[in-house]
Amino acid sequence: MKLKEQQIDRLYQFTRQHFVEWYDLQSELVDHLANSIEDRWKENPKLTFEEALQLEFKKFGIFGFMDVVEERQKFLGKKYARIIWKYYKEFFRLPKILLTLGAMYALYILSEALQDTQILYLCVLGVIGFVSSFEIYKVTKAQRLREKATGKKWLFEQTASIFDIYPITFLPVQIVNLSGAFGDENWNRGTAIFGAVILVLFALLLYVQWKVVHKKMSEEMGRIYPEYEISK
Amino acid sequence: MKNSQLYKGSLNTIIMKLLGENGRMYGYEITQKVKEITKGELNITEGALYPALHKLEAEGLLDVEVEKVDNRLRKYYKLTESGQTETVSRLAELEEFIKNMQSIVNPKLSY
Repeated sequence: MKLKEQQIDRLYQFTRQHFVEWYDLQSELVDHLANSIEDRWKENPKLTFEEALQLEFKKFGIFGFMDVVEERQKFLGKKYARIIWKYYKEFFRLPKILLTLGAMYALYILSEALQDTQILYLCVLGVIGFVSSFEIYKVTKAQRLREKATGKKWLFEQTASIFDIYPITFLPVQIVNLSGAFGDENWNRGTAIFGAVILVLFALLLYVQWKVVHKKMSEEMGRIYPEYEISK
Repeated sequence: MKNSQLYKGSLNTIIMKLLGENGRMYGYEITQKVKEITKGELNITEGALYPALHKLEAEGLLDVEVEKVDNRLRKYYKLTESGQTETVSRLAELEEFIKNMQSIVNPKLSY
């Protein structure tokens, strides 16, 4: 006996109840549960759907689907980092490297002209923070609306929006601190160069993550998830 | 899985060997195939199978395909080119292991 559409929906609901919110993982687990329930019915046709489901779920062990989710998260995290790296690298190759070096040089020249690193770099950091917060807000809002409209969440998309590059944020802040420590009276060339390089690298990373990669998300999702294209 | 400690290290090799023989397979099919070959002696648990499959996919050894079967989506796994090469070397390693274990456990039978 094959499972009915309605029972398949119940299986999706069941995976959600057991903390698997993402459609990509849900569909794999739903197919597994459905197959095993159908096989169980061949041996014991008297079992109800719910009884068979509970028996099959037990086979996943005391952590239920958690191990499956964790492994998938690790995989997608790595995948996302690799995609960011792919686009980030472009800024260190011709022709884009000219832009990267140009931005670093411009920042340094400005710092030299103003004979200041601390206030200037703090302002630049502030602008980067403001612009990226706005972008993050836009992207996550669009994602939420999409999830609401389709009723589907994708683990990769979620991995992407919580991807943690924030520990790196401390580096530019330290640079600003450092420039204060060294340049209390005199402007310091070394700190100015180092600060300009780090700030540009940092801004580029945020730009790649929120502007470049998120725009290509749909394309990348299709590559990672064959089910993404099917379920559109 | 029966005697999990002994079998655990070989789970990936078992999966890869099966995929090598059968082309593409889906998760449930793999568990059933193992059960069938070992006449129910070896039972791969679901909680171990999917993390292993996803890990192999992450390592680039497996590729995935999705199809709509009955009224649900089915995800098939198959070996990539590097997966095929890796399967050969892992199987050789496993055979070597079995041979060495044989010499230790039953020295008379060893050669």
